[in-house]
Amino acid sequence: MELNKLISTNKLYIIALIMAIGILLFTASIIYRQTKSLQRNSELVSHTLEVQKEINNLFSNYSVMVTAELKQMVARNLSETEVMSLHEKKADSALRRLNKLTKDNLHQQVNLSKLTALQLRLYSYFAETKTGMTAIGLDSLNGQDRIDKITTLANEIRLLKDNMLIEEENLLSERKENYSSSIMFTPLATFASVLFSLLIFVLAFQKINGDRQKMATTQAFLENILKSTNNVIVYYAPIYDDLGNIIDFTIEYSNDVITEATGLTPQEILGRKLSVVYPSLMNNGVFDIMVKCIETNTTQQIEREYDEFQGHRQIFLSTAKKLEDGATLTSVEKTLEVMAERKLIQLNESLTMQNAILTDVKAMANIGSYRCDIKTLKTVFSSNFYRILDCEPNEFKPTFDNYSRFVHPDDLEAYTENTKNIIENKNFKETTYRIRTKRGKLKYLRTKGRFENDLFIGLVRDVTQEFKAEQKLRDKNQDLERSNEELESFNRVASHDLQEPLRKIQMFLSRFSETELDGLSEKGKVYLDKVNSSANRMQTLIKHLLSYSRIKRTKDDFFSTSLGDILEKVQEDLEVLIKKYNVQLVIAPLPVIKVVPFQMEQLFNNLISNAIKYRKTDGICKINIDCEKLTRDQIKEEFRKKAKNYYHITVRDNGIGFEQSNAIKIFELFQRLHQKDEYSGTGIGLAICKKIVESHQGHIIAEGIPNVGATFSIYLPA
Amino acid sequence: MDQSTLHIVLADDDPDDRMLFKEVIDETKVKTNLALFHDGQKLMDYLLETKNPLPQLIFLDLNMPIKNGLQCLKEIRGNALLKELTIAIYSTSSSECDIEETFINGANIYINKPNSFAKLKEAIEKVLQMNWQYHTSSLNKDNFLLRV
Repeated sequence: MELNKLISTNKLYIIALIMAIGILLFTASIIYRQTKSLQRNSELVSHTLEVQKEINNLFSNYSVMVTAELKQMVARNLSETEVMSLHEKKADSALRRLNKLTKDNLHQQVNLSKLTALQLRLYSYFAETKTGMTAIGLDSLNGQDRIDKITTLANEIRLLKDNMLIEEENLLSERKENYSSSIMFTPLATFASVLFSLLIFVLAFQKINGDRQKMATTQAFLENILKSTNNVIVYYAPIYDDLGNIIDFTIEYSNDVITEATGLTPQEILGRKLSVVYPSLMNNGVFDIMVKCIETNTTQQIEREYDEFQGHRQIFLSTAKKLEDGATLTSVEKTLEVMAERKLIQLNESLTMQNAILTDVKAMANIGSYRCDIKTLKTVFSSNFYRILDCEPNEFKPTFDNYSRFVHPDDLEAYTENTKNIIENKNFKETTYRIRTKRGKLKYLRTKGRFENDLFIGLVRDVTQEFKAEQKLRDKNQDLERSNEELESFNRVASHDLQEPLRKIQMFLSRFSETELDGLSEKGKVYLDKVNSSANRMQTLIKHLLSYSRIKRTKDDFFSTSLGDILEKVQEDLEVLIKKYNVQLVIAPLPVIKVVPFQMEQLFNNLISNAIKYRKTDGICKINIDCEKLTRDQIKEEFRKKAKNYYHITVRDNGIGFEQSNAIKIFELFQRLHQKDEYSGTGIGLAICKKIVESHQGHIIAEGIPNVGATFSIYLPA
Repeated sequence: MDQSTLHIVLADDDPDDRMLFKEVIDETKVKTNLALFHDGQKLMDYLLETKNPLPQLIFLDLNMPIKNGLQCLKEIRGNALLKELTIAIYSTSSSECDIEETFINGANIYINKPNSFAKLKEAIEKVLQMNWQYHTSSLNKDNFLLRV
């Protein structure tokens, strides 16, 4: 702004200076003209004086000639002829000169022509005299008369001379006056113009001096700015190629800040090429904006990141401005600002995200929140809190009275007490209370909260669903307990009360067949046999059912047990059968795992006796028991695999096998694949096996090929 | 009372079982003197009556009205005069629970009531001929349950 003012006043002064020069030139021309006229005036005066001199000269010749004539006439001789002819010549030349001098004076020309006529008359008198003297003598002439005539002529000439002199006198006085007036005016004009010039120069000097001082101040100010600024200021001069395109820049000036920014001192870079000192600027757009700013005379800006200067990321905002032929590049480091800004943007984004998530979470989790200033009681409810109450956000003013209307009457006292505690004692404890929403729905709300100085921040969670689910669970649990009890009592009934009469039947049957058999008919004996086998069968059934229902998972029953030992025991138990049917039982080494020992015994007992039971009637019965350890991922079978590793134990026989389509059915309770009389069995054995394996968090499957054999695969957690 | 006569008692509420038990005892060659009781209370009354001779062997059913077998067992083992008596549990129950509890409470042997007369006879004869001193000193969970 100041600079602009400075420039405009400068313009004014330039105009003034031009005007001053104009005036000076004008004055000089006037002085020149006046001097010229003065010179002419003086020339005219001297011309007049010359004319007067010539006139006097001419008329003195006339006087001499008249005098000589008169003398001859008196003397009556021609003694003066020589003098006369000499003066005649002189008078002629004087007349010619005079005629020449007064060529531009009309009056004198008229006088001269008159004079020429008078001269002719005079000369003719002289010639008469001369002729007369020689021929007739002078005596013959009328002397007195001639003298009178010449005297009259001389008088006329004198009269003319006076006229001419008066004319010249007039001219002279007029010219003198002109001259003196000129001589008066010229010094005045000169003095005035000198004075004016002096004034202009004084003013100009003052102005220049003032400007010089201002310039010095401005320069000092600029230098101050350049030194104290954080901006890197560099002036670049363009380098052109033959076609006039800018191909590079020379660094002409740089302030000291460049050292701080790039590590190079101004001395190191001055006079060098941009492409050599800062090659990266050639390609990152900075070069382009400098070219553009020079070509279009516009201000260009660019923000760029630099890693190469100080070994860490720097961000500069550079502004290119055209200055004379080159460009000034002002760069300000914005690393911290930009980083801070980016961080802020990032933080803002994540905050927005978090807020959005929080809102969603609150809505999803049925959580409302509120803030209460316990000094002013000013309270704010979250939108979701209103929604929990089936209200529109901000539907009512959140005050204690307004809110307590929602609270269930039975819980109101506790709620009021709680609120009082918060406000008066800054004491809060988690509670659950009931509310009735605007639509009349009963909801259970659980509150949580904490204090931030005098601000209480509360969270309210709609736990109705949980509460109901819990209630449901509790009911179910009760049902389960009841049915468990029923099962227990069934067990008791089965184990004792059912077995008791059965045992009696068997007991008396045995007693009967011992003592009374002889009296029975053959038919009666068959009947008795049937009764006996039915009773036995019923006993087995009850026994199996009981053992099936007794398989329960209790942690206390699990012990680290060697499966090898278990199988030895099973072999002992089945010794009779094994020997009877000559069974080849091959058992691979088995691991030690945590199991319920007697259940494992039952499992292998069932599987092996099954294999024996369903052996082929021809050939040797072979049973192979193998074991391998597998990781969870190696097992293709679908079941819930909680453990990482499993033991895969297979019990393979070469018996009658079964159709693979029955592979699942055989594990079901009371499912039998054969007629009762073909193979005795209750249809519970494999169901027991399945139940045992599953209570061990394992899995059992069966694979069968009719007339080839069956393989039972057991997976048990390692 | 004759030294060679074995004095045994049975407490069982089931008349059939009492009858069958008596039939077995009658058929054995061992000279015995058998007393039968309908329930645990009657047994205890008998035992606590000091003028009555103490039996060498008590067969004790578990499921009985008024006072059950387990209660009797506990009372006998808790009584200084009676605690040395040999007690054989004679029950239909084959539940682990019953077996374990009576074992812990100091019964000497556990007999599952069998389902044939022959087996019953075999079991009772085994018990009558048992060397109790030897059996008790080496008593464990495995030989506690009588296998017939």
